[in-house]
Parts: sequence; C-alpha cells; structure tokens
Amino acid sequence: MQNGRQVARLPDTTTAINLVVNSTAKFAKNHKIISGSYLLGILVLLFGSGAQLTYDQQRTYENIIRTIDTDIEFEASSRYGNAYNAYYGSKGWFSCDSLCTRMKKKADEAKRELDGIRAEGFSRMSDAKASAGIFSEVGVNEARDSFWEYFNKGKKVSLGPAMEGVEGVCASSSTLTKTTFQFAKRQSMWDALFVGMRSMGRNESTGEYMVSEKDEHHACEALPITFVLLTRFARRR
Amino acid sequence: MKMLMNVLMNFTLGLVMCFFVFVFSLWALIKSYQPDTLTAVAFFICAACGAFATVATFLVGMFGTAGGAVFVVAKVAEQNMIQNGGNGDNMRRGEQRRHLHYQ
Repeated sequence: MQNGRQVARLPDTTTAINLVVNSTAKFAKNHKIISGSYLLGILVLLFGSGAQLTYDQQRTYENIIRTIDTDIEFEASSRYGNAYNAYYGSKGWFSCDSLCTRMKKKADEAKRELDGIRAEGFSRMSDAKASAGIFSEVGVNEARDSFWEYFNKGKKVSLGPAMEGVEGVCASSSTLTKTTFQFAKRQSMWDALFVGMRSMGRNESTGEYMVSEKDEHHACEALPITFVLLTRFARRR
Repeated sequence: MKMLMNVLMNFTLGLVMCFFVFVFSLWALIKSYQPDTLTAVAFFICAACGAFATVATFLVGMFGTAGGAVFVVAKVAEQNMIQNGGNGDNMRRGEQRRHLHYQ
C-alpha cells in the first residue's frame, strides 16, 4: 500500500531467477519428448563431427569427383541461355510465329541437353558421396553447412528442388528455382520504417504530417530512421 | 517495447520457418548419399534434433535477454518510484490546482 493505493510489486531478482528455473524444470518434466530431442541435439552438436574418411575412401571420392566435367555443363548452360534469349526475343505477347517456333524448339533441345548433363553430374556426385557415407565428415559437414546457410543468411528460405549444399555442378545450377527472402531482418526493417508513420492522424496526408507542428517530434524521430534504413536498403540492393 | 516485440516475433517466425525448410530439404540431401533406410532415418533424427537444439537455444537466449532487460528496467523504475515516495502525487495535485486556478 502506498498513499492509499495498491501498488503491484515486482518480485526480487532471486525470486525471479528461481521462478524461471522452476518453470523450466517443470516444462522439461512435462514434455519429455521435446526436452529429450533438445538434449540429443545438444549432444549431436557437441560431439557429432562425422567419421574421418579412410585413405581409400578419400581416393575413391576424389577420383569420382574428378570425372565430373563442369566445363561441359557451363557450355551447355550458356547454349541454353542464348537459345532461350533468342526465343524470348522472337516471340510476341500472345503469339509465336514460325521463327519463334523454331527458336523454341532449339531452346527446348538445349534445355534437354543441359538437364541430361546435370543429371549425369548429380548421379556422379551421388556416387562419390555414397563412397564416403552419410555419417562421414563429408556428409556431416554438408548437412551442417546447409543448416547454417539457412540460419545465417538472414533466415533464408529456399523453395523448389532441395539440392542445397551440393558442390560442383549442383552449386552452379540455375534451374534450382530459389525464392529467397531475408524474413526477420527485412520484416523488422519495414516495421521500423513504418513505426513513425503510424502516429499519423487519420485525415492527415504525409506532407501535412511531416510539417505539422503538433507532430513535429514524431517526424523528427521518423525521418532519420527512415533515411538511414532507406540508404542501407538501397546500398544492399 | 512494441518495436522489440516486433523484432522478437520476426526472428521467431524466421527461425522456425528456416528450421522447417531445413528439415524438409534434409531428406533430399540424405538421399544423395544413397544410404540404407536405417542409417538415413538415424541421420535424419540426429540432424533434425541438432537443428532444433540450435534454434531453441537461440530463441531462448533472445527471449531471455529481452525479458531480462525489461525486468531490469521495470525494477529500476520501481526503485525510483519507491524512493520518490509521494512526490509524483504531490506534483500532479499541484498541476491540477494551477489548472483549476486558471479556469
């Protein structure tokens, strides 16, 4: 009680820490699968570095990798790119004349050739990986790199054929249709951009809001943030 | 505070989404190694648990830091309020009186 008013008191630090620890322990006891998975995950992170390749495994792996010709794939990819550009340039909005049809056939042919070469590359890469094994350092490192790629690059999300982290031919593959977006950062940036604008009155235009005296302090807060964020955004682009 | 909540929610959504996308992409990665079913399932469970542990640790750390910071700020504010005693009320009453006088 303070001056006749009821004042809600915050718990002291020790009580708060105890509360957190007790709640965590209770949660762990009640949700055994979740806590078990978490512990297993921690153990995997700490000790799972993958089995080291033996000399023979290493030699087999490298021999198979060496048979993958990336130059052929690059040439086929360039041929397909040129053929597709020629087709795209010759076609109308809703029509395709005889020249366009010819170009389309050429582009389709180049695409089939490229797909064949890529499939061959994938197959050889798969053989090389099979010789190393999934629990080898190659497999573990690839899975780890794949995870950190998603995690670090601004929570990158890839949709489409999930062939991430495959080296060589697969990495240069342009057909892997990736829809990437940096979700959290971008979303936070837009939130920060509009946080000042939200205080704008219903019947106020942006210009009025920017120059109005009553909201001068809001504009002063919003403008530097907006400017800094836009500059940063433009630089990234 | 609202901004902090926004950032926390965005990171939570981003991380949870990236975890699920990783788990879905994991099977294709495993298949490229041509393992037998048992090994594939074992690797899948280990990798998914590892990813879950990383994401959970990150999120717990993030929320813990944010919650801790808010708690400390609230605690300091509470201490100040207790130290000032009824000053705040007296000031408010004074302002009210002034206001009534001008009316």
